[in-house]
Amino acid sequence: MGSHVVMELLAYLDGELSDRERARVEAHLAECSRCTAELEQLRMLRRELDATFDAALSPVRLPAAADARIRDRLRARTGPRPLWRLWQRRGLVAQALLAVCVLVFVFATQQTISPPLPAGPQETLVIGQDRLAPGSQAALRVLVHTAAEAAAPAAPIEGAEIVVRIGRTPGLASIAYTGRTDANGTAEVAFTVPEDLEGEASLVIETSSAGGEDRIVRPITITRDYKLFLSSDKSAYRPGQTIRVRALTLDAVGLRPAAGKEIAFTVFDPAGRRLEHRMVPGSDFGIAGFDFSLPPDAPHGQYALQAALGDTISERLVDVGAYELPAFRVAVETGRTFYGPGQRVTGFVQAECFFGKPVADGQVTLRGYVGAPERVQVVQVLGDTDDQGRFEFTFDLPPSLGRGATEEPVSFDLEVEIADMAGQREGIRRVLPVAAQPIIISAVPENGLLEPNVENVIFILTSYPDGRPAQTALKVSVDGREHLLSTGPYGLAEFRHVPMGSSTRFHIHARDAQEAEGDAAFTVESDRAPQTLLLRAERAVYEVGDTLRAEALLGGVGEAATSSVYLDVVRAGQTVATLSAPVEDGRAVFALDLDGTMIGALELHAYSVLPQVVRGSSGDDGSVMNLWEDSAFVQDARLVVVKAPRQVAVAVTADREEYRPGETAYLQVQTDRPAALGIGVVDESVYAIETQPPGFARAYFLLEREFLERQAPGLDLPALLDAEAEIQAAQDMAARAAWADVPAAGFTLSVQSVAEPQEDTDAQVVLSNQLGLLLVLLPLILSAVVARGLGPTGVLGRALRRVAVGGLMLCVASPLVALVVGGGMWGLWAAIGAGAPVAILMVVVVLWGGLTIHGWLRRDTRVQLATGLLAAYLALGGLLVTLAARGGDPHTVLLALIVVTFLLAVAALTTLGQGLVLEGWRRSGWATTLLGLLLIPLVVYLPFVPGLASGLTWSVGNPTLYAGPVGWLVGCAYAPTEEPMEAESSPEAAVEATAVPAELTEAPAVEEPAPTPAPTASPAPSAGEPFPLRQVFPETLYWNAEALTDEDGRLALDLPLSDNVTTWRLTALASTQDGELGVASYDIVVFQDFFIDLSLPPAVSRGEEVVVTVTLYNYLPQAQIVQIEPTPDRWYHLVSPPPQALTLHPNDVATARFTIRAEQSGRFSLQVRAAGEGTFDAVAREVTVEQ
Amino acid sequence: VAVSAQNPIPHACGGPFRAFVIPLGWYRACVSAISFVNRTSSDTKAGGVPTEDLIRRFQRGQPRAFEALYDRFKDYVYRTAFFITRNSGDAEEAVQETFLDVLRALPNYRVEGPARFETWLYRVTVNRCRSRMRRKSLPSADWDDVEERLERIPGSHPNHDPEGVALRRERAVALWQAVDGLSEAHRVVVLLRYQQELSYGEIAQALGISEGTVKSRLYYAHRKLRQQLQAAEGELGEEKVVGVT
Repeated sequence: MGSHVVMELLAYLDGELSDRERARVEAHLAECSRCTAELEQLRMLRRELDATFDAALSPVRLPAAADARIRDRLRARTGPRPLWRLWQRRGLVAQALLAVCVLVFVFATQQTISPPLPAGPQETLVIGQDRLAPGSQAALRVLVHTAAEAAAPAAPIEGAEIVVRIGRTPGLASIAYTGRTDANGTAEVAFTVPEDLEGEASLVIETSSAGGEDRIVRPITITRDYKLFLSSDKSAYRPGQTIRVRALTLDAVGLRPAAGKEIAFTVFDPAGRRLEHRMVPGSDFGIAGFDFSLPPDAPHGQYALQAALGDTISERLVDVGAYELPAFRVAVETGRTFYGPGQRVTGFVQAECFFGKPVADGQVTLRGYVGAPERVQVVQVLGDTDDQGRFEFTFDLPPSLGRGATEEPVSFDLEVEIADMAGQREGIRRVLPVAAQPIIISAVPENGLLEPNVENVIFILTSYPDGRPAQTALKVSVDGREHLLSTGPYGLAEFRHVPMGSSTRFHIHARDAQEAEGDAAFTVESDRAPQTLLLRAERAVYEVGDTLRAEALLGGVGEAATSSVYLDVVRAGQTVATLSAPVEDGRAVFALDLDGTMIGALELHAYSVLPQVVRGSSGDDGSVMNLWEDSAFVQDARLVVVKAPRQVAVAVTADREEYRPGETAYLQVQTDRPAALGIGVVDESVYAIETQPPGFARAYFLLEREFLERQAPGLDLPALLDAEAEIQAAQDMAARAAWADVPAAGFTLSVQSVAEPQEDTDAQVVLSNQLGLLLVLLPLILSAVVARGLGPTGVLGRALRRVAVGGLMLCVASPLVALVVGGGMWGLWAAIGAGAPVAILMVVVVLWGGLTIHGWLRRDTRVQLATGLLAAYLALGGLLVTLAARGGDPHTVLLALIVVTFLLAVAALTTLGQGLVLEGWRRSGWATTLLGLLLIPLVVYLPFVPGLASGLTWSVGNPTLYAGPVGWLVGCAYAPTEEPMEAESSPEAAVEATAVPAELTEAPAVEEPAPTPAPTASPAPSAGEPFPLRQVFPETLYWNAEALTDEDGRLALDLPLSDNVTTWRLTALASTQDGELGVASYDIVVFQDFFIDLSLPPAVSRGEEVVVTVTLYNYLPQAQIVQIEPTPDRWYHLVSPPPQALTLHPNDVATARFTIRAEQSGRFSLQVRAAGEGTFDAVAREVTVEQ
Repeated sequence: VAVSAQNPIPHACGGPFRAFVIPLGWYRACVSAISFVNRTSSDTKAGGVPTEDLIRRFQRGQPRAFEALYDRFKDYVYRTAFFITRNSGDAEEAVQETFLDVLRALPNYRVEGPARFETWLYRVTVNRCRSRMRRKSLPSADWDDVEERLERIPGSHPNHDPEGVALRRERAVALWQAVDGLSEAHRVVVLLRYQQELSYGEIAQALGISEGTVKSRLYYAHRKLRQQLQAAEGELGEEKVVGVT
């Protein structure tokens, strides 16, 4: 037995002994009763102590007051966020509440957008377009009929009330039309589209009858379509010249100028690269001008000039190359315009200088070729022109030519080359048709195909091989019978025929007054559709004030099968009138008075809805969509043109008939009403290449391009439109023949019935207003949260100051910022289009997510609230935007408030971000700032996203909202650049102001003398010398895209002439604010009796010997002995001088040559003087010497 | 009247897709079961997050974690401080100072270190109380309330043995008075042992003394308590308790 273990007993009981000690204690306890008793006592004491402590202290708790106090102190320490305790759990609650709000609204929207549909016994069918032009006449086809059932077919309902409303939203739509259906169940619904309504809108059609009520709501787009007419001063340019472009824009429906619209001009080089892109605002007359300077080293080839307005793009191709202007003009006339095989050809060649004098004693070489691709020369004639520049020729065609297998004429190429006395050569090529049969016959069925069982019109066109129409007597053999007809002055005849079989063979014989004859045979297929409808207009060309008469013929349909035919008149893609007529004896007759709103090409669409079709289709889904596909729904289309009653008359008068170089021509342009003139004065030798005839512009606007391309051979549509009255009928027939086979197109929207979803859009508007109110409130709450959240930590003031200073800095640097941001946004849009807003939205979402994480990790209630509010704001905003795009625009006042509070939200977010930065949360702070700023590009992009454009998005997304205030602060940063040409009060001043620059800008680029003038022999305008040095030779003398006449239609044009000796052609294209057009051209002759011309290549190499040809023209009455003297200059060495003296008789043209060698490289001027007796001329030409 | 919207491939998602779903479901169930077991086996206090996790969260920047710590320990700390200072006002101050100290020091606290958080917390508390004790303040009324509370300890079977209950109450009061009579050093050791149930090692750490000192202090404290109890019983003239030589 060891020593007592009293000391260890407590530790033993507490289990604090090691295993060895415990073993020892236990061993001792087994033997020592005293220690065991001690242990028991200790155990009891421990129990009692446990119990006592428990009873005494367990109820002791930190008093609540102290707890709260300590908690406060601790919170003040755990972060500088007193708001934390305030909003400790409210952040979560707020987020949850907002989420619920969003869900409720989404749910509510769903409910309003697709309510359950009532189905009644009445059905409504609407046919029309979903694109309308503001201010135009529009029409709709509305058919009300009973729903078809198995027992009873659909029947039209008479007397049903129709109300058509149009407006920004269905709720705000105002009544455009009210009326009742006629016996056919239809009404001529016509209304004017509101002028001020542009963009997305709603069309509401309500019908009511005893059979029930229908309300059809359709989103429509009200936009202006445009026609763009692009013209340039020339069609060929040299590198270094300036291309002058002018665009005239008219809106497609009213043909009124598209005033104030920005037109995008683009220039593409031959490789298709974009060289220049510029937005030019159009004037009140819809005119915009654009100049593009070709660089001196511009590659040769075809350049494309493009002008775009909205979706309309017009393109013009010009050639760029080192062309030489012709020295004189050559013309060939033959006795006849076509020949038969072996016939004798007589004719003459005429050569004339551009300043009007004939080319006398020119050597003429005439060659005739046949065959393609390899040509064989079969004829050669040589000779000289007489004093009048004329040479007459005669030759025989080869007898074998033109006797081929086909009746088509073959071509005989006539090439004429003339060398004048000075050795300058010019040529011309003529193609003579040679045909065995002198009359060519072609036939076109009115409808492309023959409609069986109804009377068809077949147009027969007779023409001579050269394309001229032939007036002939016709003998048409068909189905074993002969019909006698005659073609009119335009070579056209109408042949009426009712085809029976599947194909019909015609044999036609024609004979004209000169006993020329032609034969042809045709086989025309018949349309095999069992039921057919053929629409026929009485004429193809009408004038305003005429009555359009048309008839629809129904074939293959039983007598009682259908009750009426509908005729819809579509102009520029918009229905303008709807007619209906009952069918009697298989035909329905229509009449429509044409007023000023119908100018242009009209598509006539006739169709008939057969009763059995309605029955068949309404059995399944109630939609009549498949009517169109059903073969029993018959239709046909025709085109007619309505001419404008008047056009602008333009006249040009000059003070003199002939001018001398360097003088000023005083011209007067007179229009019969105030107009804007596009004036170009171009060297006629260049102008000769112009492809478009002057009348083209007018025709262009009246006719769609595609119709222009449908011209029948030998028909000139522009001429047709300006034609005289006596040949009107013939032209009319020609036009009908040309447009006989027009595809049936035209209805973009448009078949609906009662079964379509019915939108309760009034509720939509209410909903969007409520949403708008929320969108106004959320930024206010957000601002309050930011203010309260940043206030206690003392950074609010500093953060606000930061934001203000940042804003101010942006203001100061606004041009740069606008450039960078605007350019960046534009570039982003150009790069990825509608993906740009999505990309920004994604960045916003990522930033938002990061902030939310920050808010929850740091228990930052402000950030939590801000992110929650922002999420709700974005979600509700998105909802409102989609709602607005569908016609639920909120109230205007609310719209303004939304815009203001949006800016407030941006400010609040950036302030919060800066506050966070100041508190030390740098990353989160900057992320918040960026998030706030990114909202701006996001909303700016919104209206461009397809389907989101609405008044709301345009208001909020208006970049001037964000750029504007910045611009105002710095003053003129955003001041629009003034148009230099706009002096409407005094047209003379305007013209003079532009005339000089026109000359100056052209000249330096092309032919200005070198900057190193000759020091010695400058014959420049010294006193007494009649002819100063001529050195400015532009090809375009004057160009003004928009010159305005005064109230009386007068425009005085003071035109300083350049040094060219030529004829200038002035072209004036007039357009008024009513869209009327007119064209005039005038020749300005510039001439002097004695002058010289220099010809040398525009570029030579250094050290190269160049022969310079001086052409001398003497139109003085007496002979001249002329001395030619090149002005010496350092840059060249005169290798061989020109002849000492040259004798020139009256009307003589002579040449003198001398050789120079270029010694230096650079741009230089070569000056040559020629002096006779009392006469003198000096010319400077620019030359580039290359290394 | 509506177009019948037919599924082009009816019941297409029956076979292989479901076969894939079931194992996934089982897997999920297993994972959640394992994680549940893990959680219950880990050291938690009153079913909450382990104290160490709270500390780590606080150190990761969640201020709320500190509040959770505070909520978890505030009463223990207060009891300790109240017992040492015998003054509720002083105790409240001590609690505040303790937690402010902890807040200041917690970012550098090593969770993986040898000491439990509680040990460290009581050390801070004791130190705070001791520095407060230098300004001698009288025991507050609450302190007397403790003794009164002991006099009203409810018996487990009140109707069964009223005398026994009364006796137990007397002994409890006597024991409390004995504890109160101990020196400060002994009182603290007893407190940490019986109220906070710290081990000897933890008490040593909390008080900055050796384990042997803890052992001896406890021994002498107990001896003293027994003596005091005996003296108290002697005063009452009841020699029921067997004396110890």
